[in-house]
Amino acid sequence: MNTITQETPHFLSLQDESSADLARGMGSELHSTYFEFHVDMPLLAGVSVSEMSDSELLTAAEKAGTFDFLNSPEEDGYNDLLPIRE
Amino acid sequence: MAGAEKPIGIALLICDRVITDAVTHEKTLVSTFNQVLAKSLPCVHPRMTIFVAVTNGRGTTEAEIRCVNESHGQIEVFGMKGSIPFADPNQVVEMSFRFNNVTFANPGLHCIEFLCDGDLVLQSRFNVGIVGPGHST
Repeated sequence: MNTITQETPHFLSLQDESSADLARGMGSELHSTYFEFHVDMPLLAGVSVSEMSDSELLTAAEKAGTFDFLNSPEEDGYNDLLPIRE
Repeated sequence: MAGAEKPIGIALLICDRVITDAVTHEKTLVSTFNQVLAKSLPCVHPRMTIFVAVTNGRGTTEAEIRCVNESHGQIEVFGMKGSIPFADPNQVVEMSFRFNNVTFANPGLHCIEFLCDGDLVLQSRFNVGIVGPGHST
């Protein structure tokens, strides 16, 4: 179901302030409003929905570069944990 | 001559979902991504959330968010329009758009565009590709 919600402005306080001060935003002129929209798109005829298998998910993650960070030089810092082979 | 003040874009992020802390109302964006891979196309992406924040608006602004396939002649994949009421220019309006069951018919570079009164304010790109034997992204 498509929905729209709106939150009232909210202010953070690092010190104990009265609720009246909080409501005024502690003297700041900045304030924010948050809207949330939910949209359900219609499923097109002929488009079947199926989940990927674990191996397909792994392949997709690899191709997307999820594990590329393992090739960064910073990861070499863990090499001392490997057993030394003579 | 200086033109009329226009809304300033702060952020446009593509993620899986946005969580709101029940106590502090702080937002957490979960699983940001810039790539959608599928076994075949057309495919259905179950959930996609777009977080947008703008400020410096004056009065009511007609806004539009849309997703276009830049690799296939700017075909619009999905989108929606609406009005944003700005109480004053210092107001920051944050929005999250959660689209369920988004269907991608074609691969290629896609772009999420956020427009205010017809002017492009924010955009973010992501790629839709096919993964599998003999395919590359």
